[in-house]
Amino acid sequence: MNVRPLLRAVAAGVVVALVATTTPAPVQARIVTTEEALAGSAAGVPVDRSALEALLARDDVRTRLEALGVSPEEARARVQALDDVQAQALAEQLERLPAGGSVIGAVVLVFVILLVTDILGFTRVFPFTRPIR
Amino acid sequence: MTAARRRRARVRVDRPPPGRGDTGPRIGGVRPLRGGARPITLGVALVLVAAALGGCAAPQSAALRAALPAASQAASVDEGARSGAFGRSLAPRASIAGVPFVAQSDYQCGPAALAMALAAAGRPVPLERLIDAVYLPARKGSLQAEMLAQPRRESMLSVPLDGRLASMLQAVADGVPVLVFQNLGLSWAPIWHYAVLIGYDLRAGVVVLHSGTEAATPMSIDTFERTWARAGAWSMIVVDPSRIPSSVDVGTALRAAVALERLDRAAALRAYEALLARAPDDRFVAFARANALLADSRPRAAASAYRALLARHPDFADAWNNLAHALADAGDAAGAAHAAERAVALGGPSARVYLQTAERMRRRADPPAR
Repeated sequence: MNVRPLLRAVAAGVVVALVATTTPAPVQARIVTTEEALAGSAAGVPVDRSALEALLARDDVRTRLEALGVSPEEARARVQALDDVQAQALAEQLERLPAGGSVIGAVVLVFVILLVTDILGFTRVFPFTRPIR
Repeated sequence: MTAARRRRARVRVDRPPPGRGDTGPRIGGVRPLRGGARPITLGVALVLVAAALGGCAAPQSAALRAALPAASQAASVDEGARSGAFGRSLAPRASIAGVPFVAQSDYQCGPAALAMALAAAGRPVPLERLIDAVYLPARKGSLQAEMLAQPRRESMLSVPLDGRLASMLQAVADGVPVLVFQNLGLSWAPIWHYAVLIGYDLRAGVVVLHSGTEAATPMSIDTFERTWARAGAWSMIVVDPSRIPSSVDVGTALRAAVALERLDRAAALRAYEALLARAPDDRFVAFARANALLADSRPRAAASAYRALLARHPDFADAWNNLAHALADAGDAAGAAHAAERAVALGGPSARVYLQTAERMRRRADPPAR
C-alpha cells in the first residue's frame, strides 16, 4: 500500500490550516469600546488582542466552572456576568483563589490554637468566644 | 514572622495605646489570666505565639479611633483627611436598620450575603437563584469575582471598595451595607467567610455583622479588621445604578457600570447619567454614555454626546472614531469622513482601527463613479 500520496495530502492540509489560523484577522472599521478605551489609557494594549484574549478567557473559565460542578447552562450565564479583567484573572488562577464558604469546618488539629487566638481577638472562628479586649 | 512584629506585639501588651483602654467587650473569666505574675507570663507568651502565627496589627481601626475626639470637636478638613474619610469626618457610629437577615446553610455564606446586600439595595432575589449563580460545589464556597459579577445579572451595580476600613464604615454611614470577605482562621489555616457589615460604633470599638447564622452580631472592630485584612482587605457594595454613593470614586464606579453594560445596557446608562451629573468633565464617563447610546441604536443622541465630549476634550481620538460611526448611522456621510480623519490625525494605540474607519467613511462620502 502506497502511503506517500496520503501523507502528502495530510501535510498539505496541515500547512493550509496553520497558515489560515495564524494569519492575523483583518482589522475592521468599528467603534472603540469603553472597555478598550479604559484599558488602552492604562496599558496601551492593542484592542484586537485584548478583545480576543477576553473571549478565550471566558471560554476557559466556563469549562472550569463546569468541572467544579456548575451546570453548563449556568456556567455560560456566569461567565457572561464577568468583566474582561475578571475573566482573565479567573482563567489564570481559578483553582488557587480562596472560596468563601462557611464558619464551620475548622480542622481538629488547629482547634486549640484557633480557640486561643479567638480569645485573644486575632481570629473569630467560634461564635461562643469573646475576645479579651 | 519578623522580629519587628514580635517587638510590636510585646509593646502592645505592656503599654496599650491611649484611647483603647476601657473599650471593647471583656469577659471577667478571661481577664485574671493576666492578673498575677505567672499568668502574665503565660498571657504574653500566648500573645507572642498568636502574633507569630497570625499577625496581630489592627492599625486602621486604631487610627480611626485615635482620631475620634478631635473629629467630634471640629470637623476640619485636616482631621477628616487624617481619619481617611474622604475629606469629611466619619460619623463615630452608624447602623442601618431593616437589612433583612438571611441565614446561611452549609457552605453557602456567599449566596446568603448576596441575598442580604441585594435586598437592602431594593432587589430581593430568592436564595436558590443566588446559590446557582455563585456557589461552586467542588470548592464548597464562592469566588470573589463571581460575587461581584452576580448582582449585574439582577441589573444592580456591584462596586469593589478600596482596602481601607474607613471606606467600609463610610458606606455604612451612607446607608449602604457592605459585603465583606473575611479569613476567620489564620493565614496558614484559612477559614474563608462572607458577611454583611451593617453597623459600627468607633467609641465602643465594635462592628455589627449579619454573619453565618447570626443576625446583627457584634464583633470587636480590631478582630474584624484583622479577619478582613487577612482575606486581602476585600469588600464590595451593591447599589441601584442611579444611586451610587458619593464616597465611591468616579473611576471605580465607571468600571462597575461598564461591567454592568455587558448584561443590561439600560441600567448601565442610568449609572453613566448619574456619574456624568457628578463628574461632567470626566472623558471616560461621557465616552461610556455616548457608546451606550450608539449601541442602543440612538445614533443622533450618541453623536451629540460625542460632540459635547469632544468640545471639552478635542484630543480624544477614540471619540472621534466613534463619532464617525454615529454620524454615518445618522446619515451624515461627510461629517463621518471628517470625524474619522480627525481620529487618524491624532493616532494612538487604536490607530489601525481609525484608518479602517476613515477608509470606509471616505468610500461612503465619495462613492466611486459608476
